Amino acid sequence: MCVMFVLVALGLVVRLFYLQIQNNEHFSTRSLENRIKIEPLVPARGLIFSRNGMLIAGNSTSLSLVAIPEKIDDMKASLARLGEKLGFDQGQLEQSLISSKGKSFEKHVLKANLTEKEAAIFAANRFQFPGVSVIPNSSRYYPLGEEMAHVLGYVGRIRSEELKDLDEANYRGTRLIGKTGIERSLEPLLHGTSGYQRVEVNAEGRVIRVVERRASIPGENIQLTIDADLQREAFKALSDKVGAIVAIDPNNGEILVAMSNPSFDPNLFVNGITQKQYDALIYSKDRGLFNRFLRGQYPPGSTIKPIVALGALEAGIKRHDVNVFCPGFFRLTEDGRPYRCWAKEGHGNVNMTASIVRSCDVYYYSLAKKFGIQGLHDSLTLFGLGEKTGVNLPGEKAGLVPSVDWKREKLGKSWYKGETLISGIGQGFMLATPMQLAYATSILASKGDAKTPHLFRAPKHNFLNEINLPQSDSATVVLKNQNNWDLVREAMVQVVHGRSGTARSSKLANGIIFAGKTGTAQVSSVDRELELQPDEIPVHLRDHSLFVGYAPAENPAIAIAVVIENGGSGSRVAAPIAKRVVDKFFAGKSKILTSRNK
Amino acid sequence: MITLLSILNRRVDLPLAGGLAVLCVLGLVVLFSASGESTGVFISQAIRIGIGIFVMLSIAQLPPSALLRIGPILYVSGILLLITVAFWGDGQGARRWIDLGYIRFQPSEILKLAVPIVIAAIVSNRSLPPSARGLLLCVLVIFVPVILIYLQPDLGTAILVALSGLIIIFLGGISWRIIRYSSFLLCCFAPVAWYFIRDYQKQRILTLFAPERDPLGAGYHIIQSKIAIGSGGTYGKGWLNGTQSHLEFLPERATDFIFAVYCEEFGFVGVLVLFMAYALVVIRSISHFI
Repeated sequence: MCVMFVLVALGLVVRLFYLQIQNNEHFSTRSLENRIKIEPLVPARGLIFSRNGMLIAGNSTSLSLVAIPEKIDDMKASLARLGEKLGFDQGQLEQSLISSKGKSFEKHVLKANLTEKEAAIFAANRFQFPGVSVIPNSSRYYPLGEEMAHVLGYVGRIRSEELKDLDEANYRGTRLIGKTGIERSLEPLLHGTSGYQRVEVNAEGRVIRVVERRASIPGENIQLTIDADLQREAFKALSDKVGAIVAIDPNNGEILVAMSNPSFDPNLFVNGITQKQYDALIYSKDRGLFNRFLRGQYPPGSTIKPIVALGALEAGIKRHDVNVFCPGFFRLTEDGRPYRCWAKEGHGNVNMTASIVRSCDVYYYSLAKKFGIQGLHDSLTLFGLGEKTGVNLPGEKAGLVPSVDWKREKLGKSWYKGETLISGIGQGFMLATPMQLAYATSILASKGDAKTPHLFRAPKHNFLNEINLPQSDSATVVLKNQNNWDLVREAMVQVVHGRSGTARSSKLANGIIFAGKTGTAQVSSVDRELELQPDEIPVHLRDHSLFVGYAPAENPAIAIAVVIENGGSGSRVAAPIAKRVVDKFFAGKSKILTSRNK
Repeated sequence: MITLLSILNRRVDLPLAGGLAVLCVLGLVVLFSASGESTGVFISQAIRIGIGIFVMLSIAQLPPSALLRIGPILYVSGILLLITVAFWGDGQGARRWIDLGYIRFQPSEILKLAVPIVIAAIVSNRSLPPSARGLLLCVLVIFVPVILIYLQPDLGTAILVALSGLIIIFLGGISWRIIRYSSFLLCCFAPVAWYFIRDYQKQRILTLFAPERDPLGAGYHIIQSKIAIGSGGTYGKGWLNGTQSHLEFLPERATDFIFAVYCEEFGFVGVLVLFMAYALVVIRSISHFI
């Protein structure tokens, strides 16, 4: 009996000696680990400013309702009571719990952006909801809303698919990530570097004190090249029209305006858009989420005529002072079908200048016939058409400049001569984005000194190298005969300032010389076949209205492209909108000049 | 003073009382720490100790013959209560409690006392060593309540009640041969028993041998208490300074896991003091038999 007792006691003492003396270090460490937890410190997202220093993307603090699933015994009942108390939809709470990343002992967002009232109601009833709490977190807001939506894009909650491509350590505490626009393309810069703090916690996970702390490094503040005032003017000028405006400084490629209309409120996306709101955006007729200046591909129509003319001059297809007679149509062969000029009655004798000023189609049919599709293709490609401009925004479309090879490869069909003719006036297969049209125009304006369009101002330090900012002098168009630049420019000036110019009613204020080219791109051939009046044609079949231009004609400071979907005539719709934006641009400039003079 | 001590010495076993006193004081001290420095818990425990001492002194006044008569009454009423509990009892999952309005108690507690008294009565009435018939009666007396308690289900208490009876038989002078055979049978029965015990009971046994199997679930308590014990070291972290308990990593620290709290705060030295106090109590208790 005694022996047994001694043996048991000895066994216990030996075991305790083993645990407490022999392995003390091991267990001490583990007890320390137990109460010390590492928490991520989320960096403040970089702010985004406009060219003139206006805040266009900022941070705000919002309250979120979060749950730690592990601490909740009956999740369904808990959510049901929460929904009842705070007036939330239980299904939606469940949905956000399911879609949120993280493990069962981490905090999951049930509802972001609580109102003060909701937070107060919860605080008063908190005891009923173990495992649920309200935490403050940084949120994003876009003060200019719709005006900047397509440039900035927006941030939204990180989805689990996105987590795979992220540096997990740096995003441990991050809730929002750039989804589109600048917010996405500059995500690495805007996000910053996560810090951490070592905190002492109890088993509930409540922080008792901070042991060690490494602060996070906030994201870079970014200044855009977008002129917020000009952007607003573009927004107003478009008002109820569907279309896009892009304006570029041809001297450096800085994008002054990039507006797509209709737009949307990016603030809706930050804290989770409701299905109803999303459906409203998605199924709206004019698709406000669609970025028209970047992804809208339109037949460029007559806006490419200056470039085609320049290419033909360079290739020696036709001297600029040789006339073509326009009877209102063109035939490939004696008894072939007629290719019509937009002016039914014809333009009579037309030289290169007149062909641009009056936008004669027949002149370009005849030019295209001689030039061939390859010649057209090569000269248009030189001005960046048919390929992405390289502007640092996600999802840019490349447009299309057709060729014989392209058609054989993509459509498996051979090329027809008639297709060459309509390519000469920017119709047929040809497509371009407003961004491309503005870029091509900026190359015309700078006489070939191509600067890749970009959205960021020259940074204080060269962090932009890290994100592969496209080289600014990516391409140069070199002409054998420099005079050809002046010939085309003079013709484009006449478009606005000449007596018979198609944009003669869109002259700029203060006598600033505006060089431009209108375009009326055919969507359907009904109008010409049936000879209907413009307002007799259904809206979605009406022509797209286009205008490209730059000013001042000597030493250009702005190049602009305007596309209005189904707007009708370029001279009547797109050109006045371009004038309004460019006028605003110079009004701002002269204000600075006059205030300097004072 | 000296006379008071000598009077006490005649009536009371002073080393035994000293050992018990040390244990009671240590218990109160650790409980205060483990309960999160709750004076309420401390005071109610002190009152219970007081009641316990009073009951102990009262029973000590009874001659053993009186105990022998009370034993069967306790035993029978205990069995009846166990049956009552099986039909009308309280408790989450297991039905163990009888609610008397003011107090709730477990009838199995009565059997912890009644079984050894009844066994002692049976054994002392016959010649020693006990006969086969006597042994059979003892086994019956032990296993009727044990099975009832096991069905509650409360395996732990069932085993305790069984042991309290078996130890009396052992002390009654049973032959080593029977002990050997029954231990052998018990070992053979163990694998069969595995199929009769419930899943959570299996879990507990598995967890006992390999707590790291499920560190956040079944093994959590054992792992956390091992950390508490081990991190105490030689001298402990000091009274009220145990991080494992005060930061609430140790669950149930004011009840089953209070030993871990003690080890964490008072270390190996404290454990030795505690064991010596227990040894004193046990040795003084059984010294009359040897």
